Amino acid sequence: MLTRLLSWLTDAALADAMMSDLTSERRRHARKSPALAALWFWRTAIGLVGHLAATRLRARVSSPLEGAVSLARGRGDLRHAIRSLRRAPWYSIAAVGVIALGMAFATTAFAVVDGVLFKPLPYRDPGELYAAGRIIVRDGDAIPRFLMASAIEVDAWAGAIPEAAFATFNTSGAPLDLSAAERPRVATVDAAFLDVLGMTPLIGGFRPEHFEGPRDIRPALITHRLWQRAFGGDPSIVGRVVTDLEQQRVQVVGILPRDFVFPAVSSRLVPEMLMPLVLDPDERRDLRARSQHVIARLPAAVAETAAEQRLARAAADLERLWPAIPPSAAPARPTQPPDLIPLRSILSPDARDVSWAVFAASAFLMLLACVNVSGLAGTRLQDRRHELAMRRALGGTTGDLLRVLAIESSVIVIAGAACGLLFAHFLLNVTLALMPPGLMFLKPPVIDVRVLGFAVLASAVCVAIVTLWPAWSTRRPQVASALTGTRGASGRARTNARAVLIAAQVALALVMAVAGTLLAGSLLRVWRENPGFNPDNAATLLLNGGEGASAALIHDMVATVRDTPGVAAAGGLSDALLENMRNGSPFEPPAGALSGEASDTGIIEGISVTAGFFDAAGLRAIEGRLPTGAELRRGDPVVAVSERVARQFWPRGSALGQGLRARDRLFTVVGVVPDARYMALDAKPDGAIYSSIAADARPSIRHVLVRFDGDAAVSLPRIVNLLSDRFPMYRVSRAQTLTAALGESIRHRRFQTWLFSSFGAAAVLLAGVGILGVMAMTTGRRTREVGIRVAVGATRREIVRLMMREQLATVAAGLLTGALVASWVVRFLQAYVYELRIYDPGVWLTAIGTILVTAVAGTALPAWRAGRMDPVKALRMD
Amino acid sequence: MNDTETLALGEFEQMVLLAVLQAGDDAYGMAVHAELKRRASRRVALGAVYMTLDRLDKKGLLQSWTTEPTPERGGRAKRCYGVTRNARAALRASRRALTNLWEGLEGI
Repeated sequence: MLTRLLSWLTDAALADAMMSDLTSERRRHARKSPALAALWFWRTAIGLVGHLAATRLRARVSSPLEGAVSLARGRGDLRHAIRSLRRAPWYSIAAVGVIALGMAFATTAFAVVDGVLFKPLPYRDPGELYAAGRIIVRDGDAIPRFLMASAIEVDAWAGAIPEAAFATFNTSGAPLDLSAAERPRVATVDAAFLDVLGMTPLIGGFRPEHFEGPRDIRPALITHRLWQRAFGGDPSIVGRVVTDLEQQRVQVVGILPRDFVFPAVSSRLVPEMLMPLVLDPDERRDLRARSQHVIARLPAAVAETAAEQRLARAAADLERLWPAIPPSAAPARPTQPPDLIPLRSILSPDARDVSWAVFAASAFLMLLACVNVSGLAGTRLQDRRHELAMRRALGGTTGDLLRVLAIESSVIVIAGAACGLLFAHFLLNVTLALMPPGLMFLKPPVIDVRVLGFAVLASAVCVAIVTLWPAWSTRRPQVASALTGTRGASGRARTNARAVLIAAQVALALVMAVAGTLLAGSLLRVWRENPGFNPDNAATLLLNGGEGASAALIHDMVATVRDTPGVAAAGGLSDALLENMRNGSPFEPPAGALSGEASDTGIIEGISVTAGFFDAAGLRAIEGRLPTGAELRRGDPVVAVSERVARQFWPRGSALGQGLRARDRLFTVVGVVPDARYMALDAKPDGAIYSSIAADARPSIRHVLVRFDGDAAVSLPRIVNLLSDRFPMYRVSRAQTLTAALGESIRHRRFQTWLFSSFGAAAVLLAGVGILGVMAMTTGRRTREVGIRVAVGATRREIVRLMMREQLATVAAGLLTGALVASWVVRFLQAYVYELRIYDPGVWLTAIGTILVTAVAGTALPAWRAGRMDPVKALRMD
Repeated sequence: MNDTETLALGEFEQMVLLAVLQAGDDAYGMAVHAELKRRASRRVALGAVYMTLDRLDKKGLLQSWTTEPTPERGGRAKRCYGVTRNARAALRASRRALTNLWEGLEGI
């Protein structure tokens, strides 16, 4: 971002040299203190940018004389605006604070959603790129997805549209284990891939012979990010052979450019290494070998509908080639041609709706901030009516007055935007820390030139609103009445306008506060859920590898962990744990079982476990007994079932002693255990059938569950080291406490709650500041009136009560309006709310209470100050 | 290069050329800035130093080259500067002119 800005201000070579020096110097400072180094870096960088920008601006002034006059005039107005703002410190602080808050949220939101919504695809003529895909309808939403195609199909499509260029890729390969911490994903791509996207490697590239056949040393292009991260940006890595932990040898043949983005649908699937896609002759001939995603570059001359018609004809031709295969053994026949889906819309479709919602909410907040400051500025203009009338009387035109106001607004907005950008830096870091993985961004969410551009644009809109709205209300200042200090005929109208402004802010804040409170309440409820197993002092280790291991070896490994000092229990399971994944069940429902819908039990999971699992998970039998360690080691045909399974499979009797068939073997139910949430903390518990790993046809282990005597986080590294030393065929790819894993499983929810709650809190704060500002101004304007009231005997309490009564009526009107709007808006939040009614009285009362307290605080402070006013001084004032 | 051309060098340009000479083989933007701060006790904008280095490079009074990219520099190269023969002549002429002008004014 900074490099681009510097390049824009100077030239690319000089900018690169500056960045190089700044980076080097920052690293040198960072050895003493990273925080101070960051501070030094940004202070120096801002100074550098400021100097270069000023130099550029000076160079651009075409006529030196004209420039000098304009600059002198502008400087005069600027000095006047700053002096004028310093004379009104409360107004200045409130206005700058409000703009800063709005700008911080708007820029943070833009930085996050830019990579999803706005940033153009970094490919040549991206509008010509299409994915061969299919629109899937899920929960009423149309979601575009890539299709998997065979080589024969791709050739047929290419033959049908000779004007188009086709490229294929596959992302299902295993990651490469460069080191324990560095496991880049690998995609295989065909020779046309980079050409079709219109990308050229930064250094090196694939050669035609790389695609000729399998090689002992696989060539790979790596992304710029991986190059920087794993190889420190060392250019000599190109040509070097790297050996991974599995002894695979890979030759780095090139580096992809910095802005390269792989067209994957999720950041979890974004490969950082590209290797040649080489199909063997059998795969080339097999119509069913569908292993490739397809991208097509369709020239603008070929209409999308015409291309789809030609693909349909090619599909019909392929149908004739289709061999007679039983439908159950074959994938879908190629009778349906692919849909040509613009590449842009297939990338991260799930994130687009949320991104639009976040962007709309931030725009809404920014608008609230602008309206707020406009209100403050409008009230302030009332106080400056003398000055404006004087300017008008001395021959000032409307343009002159507007310029004065615009400069003052600009000072406020620029100061607010600068503070907002600093706050946005912090806000973005928190947002990124909470962001769920898997969101596909076309650029990393950072504050870069595009975000700064957005901030400048938003600031310009702010200046326009903050200048024009108040100016419109004073477009015909009545010189005589202003100079004599009498109120004009429009006084009541302006009071009404202020009341409407306060009411509108309260209403908007209430809408956002209700949304934030609903989601925060939902998160609290989720945290209070019982996962079914006991997460205290327990941890889980996610294992990879160990293919072909026997059940005895798996049990040995678990026993080794269990016998480690400080470990209370250890057990293994073959299935996903808190990974938002389901595995299904090999068990056949018995005759008389209820269907999932009828019994409200949903899905049944078959979970294969080792001896010690139930102790490690803290599961106890609530009926019958648990399978014993010996039974589980031997692979005896016994199972324990969860309550939901018992209810669904045997609704009229006990589950104990019942038989369950799987893999042609009959298992006996020996016990019933409580339901547990293995998918995610906020997902309804699935039914679970626990059998022995030793009874599986191919025993495997995915998680080792360990219960410690003390704090799990402290003892966990010891177990990771133990497994690496004693069982090197397994690799621990993740080790975390069960509490942390439960937290991770609801990361999406935590992120949504953070978004809505922070927006809600900001809206409440904005409304509070807005009310405070308008009230302070209103009270200030009524100084003389208050003085007279006190002089004729009004007590302080009466003054405070009078002031508050007037404003609180407005607040009440705002609350009523807001409640009506919010009651409609919350219906759209139903999908995000957990076990909470959207009209939950507790939630609504909390939100209304928060607004009320904020509004009362905003009203009471100026009213209290008015009550303490000295009547003599008040009457002397204007 | 004659003296008239030499005197066309601005004061800051002369200082930057001297700072480049003082920094020796490792004269890059940040080092030149540090030399100016240390020896001339002048707080100058870093941007001004870079712009002046670039301008002197374009005028042919400095020559620049880049080193190999290093991880320490985020994969970027360092741009170093050296003073050309013309610049040395210009600096000498400038010093001579100033010395001549100062003659007899030591009491000031």
